[in-house]
Amino acid sequence: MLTLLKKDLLIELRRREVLPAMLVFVVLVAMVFSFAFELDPATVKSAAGGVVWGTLVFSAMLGFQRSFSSEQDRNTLDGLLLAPVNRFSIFISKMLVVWIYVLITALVVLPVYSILSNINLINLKILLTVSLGSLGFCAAGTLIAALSSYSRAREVLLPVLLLPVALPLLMAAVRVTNGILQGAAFSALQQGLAIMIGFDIILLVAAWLMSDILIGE
Amino acid sequence: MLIEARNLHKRFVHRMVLAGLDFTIQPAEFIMLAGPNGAGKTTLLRLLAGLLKPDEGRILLDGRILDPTSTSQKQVVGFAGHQPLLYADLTAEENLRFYAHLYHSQNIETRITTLFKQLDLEGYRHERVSTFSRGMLQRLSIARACLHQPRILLLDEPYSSLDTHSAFCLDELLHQMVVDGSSIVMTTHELDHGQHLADRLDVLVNGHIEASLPREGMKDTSPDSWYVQVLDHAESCKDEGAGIC
Repeated sequence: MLTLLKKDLLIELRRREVLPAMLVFVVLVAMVFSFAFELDPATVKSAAGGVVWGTLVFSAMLGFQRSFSSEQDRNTLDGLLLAPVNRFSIFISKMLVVWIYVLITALVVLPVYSILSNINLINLKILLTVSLGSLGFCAAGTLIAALSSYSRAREVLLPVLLLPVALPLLMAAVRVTNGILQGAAFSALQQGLAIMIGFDIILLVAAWLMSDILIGE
Repeated sequence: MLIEARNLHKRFVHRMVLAGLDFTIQPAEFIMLAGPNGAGKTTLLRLLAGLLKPDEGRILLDGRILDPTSTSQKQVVGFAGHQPLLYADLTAEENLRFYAHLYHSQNIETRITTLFKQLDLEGYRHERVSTFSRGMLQRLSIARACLHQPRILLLDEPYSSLDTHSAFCLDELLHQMVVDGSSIVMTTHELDHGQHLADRLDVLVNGHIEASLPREGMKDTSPDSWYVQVLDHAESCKDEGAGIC
């Protein structure tokens, strides 16, 4: 799995195909939101969770689009299928690549939006929430990217299938992020955190069960 | 028997590509597989490699049903098809190193160096694959397939795009692999290539093996004229609609 992960990261380092696009996208979206909420500081704070997650979700889509389709476009997926590699490992490596991109994107968008909106988003709790939420979202996105990769309409199918599946996770993530920003007690965040952890586990187990069917002929 | 395929059927949408094909491979056997375009040669190799599943029939590898998800069975098979299955943004060496790690190959450094020398790619090992010509890609793809020293090597028209010197290098490599005990199935349109190594020439027409010419037969008969006769015979049978002649 580490070999697959290393290969994908090395290719991205040389091609600069996905991550720069994601970074430009999140900075632009953060700027648009900050201008839209400029006159209303109270709204800015209550909307910050939604802005952060909305930004990360749509930038992650760019990563999902390329996760399996890049192998198919280069006709290299057969090479992975021929090798004695567990298909779940292929799935996990693809998921981890997008997750790393999302975390890097988050490390950019959080300070940028903090400066633009004058709210402190650089917070260990928020970083943990982003990590936890984006892990589940990346699992769902990679699963559906694998599912839709054989379709001609994969670019359309991915968001149409992914957003309803990931909606409970995203709602919990936004709620927890807003709770942290408003200084809520840990007990008030527990339900949201439980949903996120549960979602992460369910999606990873689903991927483990379905990867042999989803990846391949 | 290394591989035993029985009653293989494969259909793509409305076209039946393989119709009840039987095929066997013995250890250290070199089989040339010829047939007209669209006869099902590539499909057969992809089935044997586990990249496709048969609609009917079964494939046994070492007496066990071929399972496309079995990592132990994949370790046994090497496949080089029309697509090189290489990463254009990695160098030739990085590509082979990547696949060597996936196959848990031993002595990776030595094996890679040996293959680069055997296929005359030594001077290009640090160049990105995106700069390679078709013939170089073909050779690197063959190196990728041979990297883990598979017990069965499936090659789909490996001599296409190769110049005379590269074809000679490939001859040497295939000879060495057979000597080392690997079985090879090679599809080809040019019967001259690999003929001196082949134990059997099979002709695939209309979804099944129409005829087989053993090594002894190749000495007595010109494989080219025999092949044309087989195709003519198959065509006349098809025209008569008899199916069996």
